[in-house]
Amino acid sequence: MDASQAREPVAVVGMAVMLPGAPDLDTYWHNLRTGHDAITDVPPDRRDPHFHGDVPDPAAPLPPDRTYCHRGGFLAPFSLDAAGLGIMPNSVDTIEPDQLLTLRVASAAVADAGGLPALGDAGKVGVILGRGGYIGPRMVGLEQRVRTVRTVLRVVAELNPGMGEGELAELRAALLDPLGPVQPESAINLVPNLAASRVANRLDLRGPAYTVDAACASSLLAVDQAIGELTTRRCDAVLAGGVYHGHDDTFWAVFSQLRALSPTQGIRPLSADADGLLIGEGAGVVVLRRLSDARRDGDRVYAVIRGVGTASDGRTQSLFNPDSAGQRVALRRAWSAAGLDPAVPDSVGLVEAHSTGTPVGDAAELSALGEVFGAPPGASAVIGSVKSMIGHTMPAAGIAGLVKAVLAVHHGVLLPTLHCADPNPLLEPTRFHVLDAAKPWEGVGPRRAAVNAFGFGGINAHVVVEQAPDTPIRRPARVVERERVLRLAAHDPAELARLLDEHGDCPPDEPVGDPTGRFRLGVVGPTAKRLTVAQRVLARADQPGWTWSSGDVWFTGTPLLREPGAKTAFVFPGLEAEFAPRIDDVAALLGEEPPGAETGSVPEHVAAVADASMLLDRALARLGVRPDGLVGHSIGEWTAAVLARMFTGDRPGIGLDGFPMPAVDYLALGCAVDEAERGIADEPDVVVSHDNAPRQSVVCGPREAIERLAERFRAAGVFARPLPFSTGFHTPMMAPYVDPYLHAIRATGMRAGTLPVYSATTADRYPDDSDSLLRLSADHLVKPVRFREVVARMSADGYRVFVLMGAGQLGSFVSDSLDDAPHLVINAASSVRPGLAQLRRVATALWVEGADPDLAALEQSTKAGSTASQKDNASAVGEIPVRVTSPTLTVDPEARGRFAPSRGRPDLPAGLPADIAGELSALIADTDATVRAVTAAVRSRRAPAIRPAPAALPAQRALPAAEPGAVRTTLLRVSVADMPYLRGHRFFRQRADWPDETDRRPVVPATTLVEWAQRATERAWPGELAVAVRDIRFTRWLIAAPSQDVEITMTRPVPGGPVQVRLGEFAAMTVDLADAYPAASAPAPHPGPATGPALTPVEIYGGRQMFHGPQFQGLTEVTAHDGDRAHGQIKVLPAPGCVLDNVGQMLGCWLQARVDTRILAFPTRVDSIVFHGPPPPLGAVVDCLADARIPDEAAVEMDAVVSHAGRVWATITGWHDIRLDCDHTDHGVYAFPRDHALSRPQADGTWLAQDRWTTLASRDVFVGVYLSAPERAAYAAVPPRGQRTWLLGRVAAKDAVRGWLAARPDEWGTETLFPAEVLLTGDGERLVVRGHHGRALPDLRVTLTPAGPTAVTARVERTTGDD
Amino acid sequence: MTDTTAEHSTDVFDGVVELISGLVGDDLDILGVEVRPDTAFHEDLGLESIDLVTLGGLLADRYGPRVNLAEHLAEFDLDDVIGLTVGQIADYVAGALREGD
Repeated sequence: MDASQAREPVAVVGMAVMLPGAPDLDTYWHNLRTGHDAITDVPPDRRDPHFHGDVPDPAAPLPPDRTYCHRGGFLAPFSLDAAGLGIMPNSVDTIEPDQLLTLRVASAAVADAGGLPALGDAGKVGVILGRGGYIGPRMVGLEQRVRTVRTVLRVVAELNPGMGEGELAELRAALLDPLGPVQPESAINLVPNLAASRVANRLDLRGPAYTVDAACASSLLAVDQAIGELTTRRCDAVLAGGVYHGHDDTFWAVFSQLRALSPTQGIRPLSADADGLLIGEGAGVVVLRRLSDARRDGDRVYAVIRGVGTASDGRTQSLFNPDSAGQRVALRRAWSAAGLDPAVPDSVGLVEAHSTGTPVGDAAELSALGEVFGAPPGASAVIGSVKSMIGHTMPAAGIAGLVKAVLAVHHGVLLPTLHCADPNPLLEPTRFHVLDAAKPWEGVGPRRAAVNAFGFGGINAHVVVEQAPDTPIRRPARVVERERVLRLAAHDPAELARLLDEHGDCPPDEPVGDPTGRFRLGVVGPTAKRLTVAQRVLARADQPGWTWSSGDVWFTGTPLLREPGAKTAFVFPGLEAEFAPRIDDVAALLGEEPPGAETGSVPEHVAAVADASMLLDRALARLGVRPDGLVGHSIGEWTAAVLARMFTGDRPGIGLDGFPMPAVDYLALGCAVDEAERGIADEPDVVVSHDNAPRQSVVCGPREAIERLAERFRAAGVFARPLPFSTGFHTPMMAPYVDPYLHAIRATGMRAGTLPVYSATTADRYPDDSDSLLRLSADHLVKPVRFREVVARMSADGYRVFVLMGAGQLGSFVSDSLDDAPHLVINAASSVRPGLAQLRRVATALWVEGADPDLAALEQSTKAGSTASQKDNASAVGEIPVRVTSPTLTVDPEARGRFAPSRGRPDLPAGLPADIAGELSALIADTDATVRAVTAAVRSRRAPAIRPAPAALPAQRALPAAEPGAVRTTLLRVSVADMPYLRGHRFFRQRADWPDETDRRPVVPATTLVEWAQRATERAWPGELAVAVRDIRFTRWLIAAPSQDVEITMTRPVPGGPVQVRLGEFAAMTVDLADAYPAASAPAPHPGPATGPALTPVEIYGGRQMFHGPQFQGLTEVTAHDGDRAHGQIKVLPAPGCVLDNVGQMLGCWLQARVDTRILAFPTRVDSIVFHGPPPPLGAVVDCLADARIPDEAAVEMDAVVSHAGRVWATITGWHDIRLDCDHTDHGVYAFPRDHALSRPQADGTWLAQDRWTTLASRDVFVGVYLSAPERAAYAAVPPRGQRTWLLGRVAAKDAVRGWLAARPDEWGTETLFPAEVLLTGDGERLVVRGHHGRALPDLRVTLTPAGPTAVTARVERTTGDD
Repeated sequence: MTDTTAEHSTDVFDGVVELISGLVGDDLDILGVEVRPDTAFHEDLGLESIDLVTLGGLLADRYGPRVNLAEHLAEFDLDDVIGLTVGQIADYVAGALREGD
């Protein structure tokens, strides 16, 4: 073979994977080395019980809707830094997960390669990914919408020939409703090639970006394409790899039918007892550059790709059976491309086989390998397959194998294969053998590996990988191997020592051992030296009270924060002589600019200290570390006050600039305060300003006196050091200068803190009322700092952990003051260690003491952040979990049982106590009977054929005889039980089994009130028809739960004249009665051509543009026409007032398409409705044509004509809707409260709710969305002036709790909560969180902080349950 | 610093190490730190400047008021105090004792 023909080697300069058991490359390498078995049962949320149901005889033919295999390789739930990657958070759920997975992995690979700039011209960076055309969960959802619902309806109709259109429409809505809103703009997110295009889009890469499909060989075909792009110089860098994600049942069904899955639930590649594969999933991406470019730029080169060969089998026995001849061709082509001879003894050290664990496939592959590589004397090589650990990842299989081979070559380690104790005998004549444990890769010459990937249909690929030539890495390593943290917990020291032995060398990302264990050890960066320290520490673990916190090792047997009532304090430093915290990397993590560190002037120094503290506060919040209380040293109290919202503003900015200070100096003394006092007794101008600690005090006075004292103290052996700043704070010398400060403080105001804040002036908590606060602010400037005492006080109040929000000496004052009292003091920053490294230590120390900080938060996004597009912004909105499950087609729980024989009787929820269930059944039966009786009565009176509402006035309690002629009254019991159709007119959605109907707020539609008035007058004056209703005013919602009696008062002052009708306090109108309907003045108008696409019920009701349930879902189509015309078709449903309500809905639809603000509209008045005939029959479809107008931003109006069968039925004039404050985003919350939040998450982990309501009516809508009955009662008790803030607090708190839960899908699942399911109690700034009506929630509490007059932030934190 | 000083300081150095070991306690064993002249007070021993107060007292108790660490360190910059080594302290003590002879 002629080496000169070899193509230019291509360098692998970056890699990333997400594979079962391996969320990142480091873990993948760890798993490969240690032989981690990531195969598991199908996770419950991805397991359909029927599909995975019993298969009595696995050998018998299998129905296609069953599988006999129940294990595989599954990705752990993953999330996406949506903001960092420029993905709209609310679109995450509409994108096929494989696209998001690929984006995350690709951006990690780019980061691993040194970031986008390292790849050169973006115009020459390509993205080529192997991705089969397999169905993903989002496409399954579309399929259900598009086809399955239709199929179900057709089948149901075939089974029930008597079923009416109305019922089918109901069923259709019930099926579509759970699928959520249709988002037309999201349709693009299902297109398969977006797996590649989205990467190019988000990273702004402009080379070719596409997917390839060669089944299981896809990834290596992508690599082959990439190499072609590089060698032809069309690209300078290519992201190549593959993805497979989904585990759709159809995919499993194919493999089950083929009998390719292991009936014994195990994947054993290369083993004699291999009996089939298990399916895995994941993604991998390598960043490839020409070796010469990589060397020129000093890239880190993991390995080089010497050659790739591909071949098809050609015409063979079958498309399914692998063919070793085709495989041989691919292998030979790759080695030829490499210019190497595979048959020489040292050609290869490791072959990553395609081997899927199917006997036929393994046999073909081993035959091909045996033939190409031969077995010359002295030749020996390792063979393996990572599929034994992660399953067969299909189109991603090749990249999983390639990354494995590259890592093995790079690290010089030969890797093991699992479940191969008894290797396939076909290995015997070859040079290959399988390892059961990793071992060093020894031998001469460059390390070389080869990777196979063979696809269905006979497509074969083979890659030759070689150790990188020694290249000096000039470009500084951009991705530093991150410092690992070892966290171990156990119930006894011996177990802890055993865990240390087992895991010390290779700490997993997560804590090891029983998390409840009280013996806890943390080691940051476990070097041999630190592990030795840890062993020595553990050797003494039996000693009572033995703890350790030094040398990056922490140990305790009595975790401080497990003590009941134990608290964590944040301690804010003031001015210190040394100020050099290393926190720039912390700022970068949060996407912020590094804070200033100027200390030249006092104002600059104050600002820099505060900025550093507040940055650390945000960073700790990201880790989930939050204080129970705050304390500050000197002006550090200002920082504490800002963070506790005692001051307004985001910085202790009370305008120190240019403010006066006395000319006095400080002297720090190494002695207790009483010794300091004795020492200054003869200096009348000198005072003690700080009692910092038993071993440090500070005195203050005129320079000459201070100089005298310094000498005197030193002569007495007392350390004395003048401080490098002179402010005179905390001394009486400050008194003449205090006014401007107090003026500034008064101007911004002070209020009770949202957290306990301790004052070193009083050695007690800050007071709550603003007058006392202002007084204390003055004292703070002129009275001494009693830091030693306040620390002791906090210790007495249960504070055990003190986190110093800076890098200075203050921590030693806390330790010195607490002496033997149990405590942990740790600095959140260091002047010598990088900020993230120090935070890692903080988190580790806190974990040891029983807290649960999120260490991973320190690792995220430094990678993604460096590669994501320029649009990257500072707001760390956080990770959005990616939902990977397919939707299950099911009817809306509210609709279940609707077509059961006992129609109208909903199934009782499971788990009800027997007595309650009994009562409910009786009640339902009773109601049924009432309805039937009333219906029968009405029918007997009126001709039923034309009555759309057989129960127009049900449960009418009394029709008392009224005075003849003038006034008639009737009492109407309004309740959901009596009027089940009101279930279709509930304003607020709640969980399906929600027991409290008042939380749904069923409201009688305005048009139902109109029809009730018509029917009531017709009954009061028998023989006359209600032909027109005029001057209609709707004044209040008529709410049907709890039920209430409404008096209908009909006054007819002039016999034969119009009737004034008043329905309680809810509506008033005039009804004209006549013997016959007036003729319409014109024929039914024609709407003319539509100007846009028609709105369908799916959009209107599925998307909940209208909140109505099936009983009021009459609109079958709405179109817009020239001249502000809207046209709709309305099906006549039984509920009273339903047709006219649908006319109102049509106006609402028109409005929502027309405007973006105040899109929620409700009728408040109608000038007149004239009826030209009897109500159209049930099931008919009527036309409505409306001329709409928007007179101002608070209203929408229309005139409309409703026609039936070409004739005008009703003429509506002057219909007026009020529009409530509600934009499309707010409407999303109103329509889908479970999945949306009014509040916004903030970078610091809090949630911010801002006032958005200009009217009480608007606010009232969201009172209903967010509050449950007990909370509404509490809200009603709040004085009106305070209601807005109170409500904002509840909104922020509920959203914070829901966000908190959503961020922990592992712990709390992916089910989202309605706001009402979070029950908040308590007053003031701290709220207790409980689950409502059967919802179990963790022990949480919420702290509220006013954020200005019209906003509130909420911070949620876990409690021990004790407080 | 001359060799002579260093030789004369040997006993003093051992004495200072003894005091410091008392101050640091068991930690030295566990950390595996051998106290040498270049062992840093803060960085290697994990002591804070506030601990110098205690050390100053211990030195005065043992060697008498001639050894006044407070006075000695008054001339040091803060950086130098933070970087203080055991050898520097021992040298100072030895020097102070010599001057007093």
